[in-house]
Amino acid sequence: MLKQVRWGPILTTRRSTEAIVLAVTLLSLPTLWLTGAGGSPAYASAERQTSVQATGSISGVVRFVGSQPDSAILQMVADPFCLIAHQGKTVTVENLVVNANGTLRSVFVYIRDSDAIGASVPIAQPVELNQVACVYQPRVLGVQTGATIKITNSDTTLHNVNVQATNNPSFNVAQPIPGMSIERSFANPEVMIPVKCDVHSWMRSYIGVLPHPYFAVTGKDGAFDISGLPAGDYVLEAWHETLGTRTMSMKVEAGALAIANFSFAKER
Amino acid sequence: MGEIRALRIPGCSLLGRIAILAIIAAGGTFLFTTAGMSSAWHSSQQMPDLSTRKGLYEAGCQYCHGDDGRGVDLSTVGFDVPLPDLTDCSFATREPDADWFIVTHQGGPVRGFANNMPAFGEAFTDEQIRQVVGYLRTFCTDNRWPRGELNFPRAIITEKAYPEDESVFTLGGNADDLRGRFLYEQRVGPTGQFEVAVPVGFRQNNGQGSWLGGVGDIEVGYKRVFAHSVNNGTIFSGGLSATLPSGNEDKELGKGTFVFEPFVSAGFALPRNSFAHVQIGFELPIDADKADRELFWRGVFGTTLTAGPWGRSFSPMVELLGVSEFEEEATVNLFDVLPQVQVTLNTRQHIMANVGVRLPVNRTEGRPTQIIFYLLWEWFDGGLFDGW
Repeated sequence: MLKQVRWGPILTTRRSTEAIVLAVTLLSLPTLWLTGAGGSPAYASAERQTSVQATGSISGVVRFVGSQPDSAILQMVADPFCLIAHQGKTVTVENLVVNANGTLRSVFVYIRDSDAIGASVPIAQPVELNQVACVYQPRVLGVQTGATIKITNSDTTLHNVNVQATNNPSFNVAQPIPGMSIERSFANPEVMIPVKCDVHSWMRSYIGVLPHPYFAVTGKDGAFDISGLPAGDYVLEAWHETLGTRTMSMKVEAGALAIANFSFAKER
Repeated sequence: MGEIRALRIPGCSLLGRIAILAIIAAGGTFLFTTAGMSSAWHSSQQMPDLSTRKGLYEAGCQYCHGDDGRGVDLSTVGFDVPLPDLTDCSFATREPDADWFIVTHQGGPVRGFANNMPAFGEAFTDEQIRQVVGYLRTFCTDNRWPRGELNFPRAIITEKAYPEDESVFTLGGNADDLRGRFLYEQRVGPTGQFEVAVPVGFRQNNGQGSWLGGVGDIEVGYKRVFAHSVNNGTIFSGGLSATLPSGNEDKELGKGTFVFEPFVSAGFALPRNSFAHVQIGFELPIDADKADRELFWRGVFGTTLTAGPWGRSFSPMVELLGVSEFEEEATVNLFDVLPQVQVTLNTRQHIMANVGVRLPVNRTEGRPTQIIFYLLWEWFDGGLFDGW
């Protein structure tokens, strides 16, 4: 009865239009709160739309020019575990891996100048570095400043993670227990930070630390893809641990894909 | 084919026999390639028993330090810094367990050593690290070498019982009289120590405004540890030094006679990182007309504090100094007190400084207060510019 008494007159009076507006407004408040406190819905929507429209991508391939280099065979005699872990298979040094299609593996491609990116970058994602069969996996990886890097020993043998940074604190942590992990983060950009295991002389890895997520590492096809990049002019750099660096100026347009192909040759 | 026939297995096809041959060949290759390796536990793919200190050593240390503690060949590891020989008692006994614990827990750089020594603090518990340090101690089997736990901080005047490889430059005095002393000490065997000291002096020329200076009486000496026990926290030594009349007597830089100084000294570990030194001895001049015979006694009480768990060490001490001069007519007793603080200067903690004030307690006339400073370099642990 109480509801009928209160709502009945409202719905039947000349103020019914105002009541509908009020109800819609009240219903929309939780929605506004969920979508982002502080900003008007019109402004937030426009910003999101702008950010989607204002990004582009860069794709490319890193090629190796020249004849296929000979790969040195790793001598793992220092640790029988490592020999056994590879079950007699030949393991080669991975400091220069040319794929079957003539492209280069483990090239770190990244936006070198971060000015055009702006202050707003996506949330840093955690990454992992593993030690499997006495080899780092992956050999080259990128991580954003402040993001967690989890380093795991999956072997039943001692590894030590000797991170030799110059723009960040260095550390050298022993991992004698199988499955043991440590977590670290780097506060400052640094390309690249070498990682080595002092127990196993062949183990090498490289970490690229950047203040943004616009980097990629080439794999078995030698290709890379950097997406979600704000439109602008950039300098793209490709880094390889033995062949050095190549740079390329790029213009990234909103909603477009820019192509950037690099070539490396082994100096004689 | 003849070899295959020799390996014929009833019911086994040619393909199967080839497979068996391949397995045997692979096994032979493995045996060949692993021959001569250290008997590392991991050849069995089984983790050592981490509940034992030997198992902890095998899991964490053996790869580099070897089965026997002598260190593996550098060709098998990924660095070129020579590994220490843990069986060498001269090396292995010098530092206390606490320092071994710190380096194992935090890695080499915490004490200014190579960064190839990793930190085990995230892998092993504190108790496990203590266990493995205990195991490292077993590699030195010669118990004659006194342990580093008995190497208490050096006071300014008192001769400590522990033998050292170090150089000390001491400077002290007042506005009218400055005295310096270069001291070089070198260990001889497990318990001996040779030393030579060259004093220098500078003093006002009786108020005439000019200064006199020169070398004083050079000292040579030998000290030997008689007894020591890390469990009891005690060490006892005795020694003899001889002072040569090399200093200019007229300039009051020398006594003008040979002086022999037999002494005994002792060190005691006390609770809460505290310690005490005691030294008693005689000064016996050859020419009694030029110098008095003396009985001296010295005592030190101090404690060591550290800045944070791994940081710089501060050792405040109080030194009590007494001497009885046996003059012809009477015996003169002099007493001084010398509060001081020793500080480690570098990360490796083998460069130290100490500053104190020597305050006469009795017969103060003609015995002014002195400020005394020393710089100490334990040269066995590295160069002057190492480990900062």
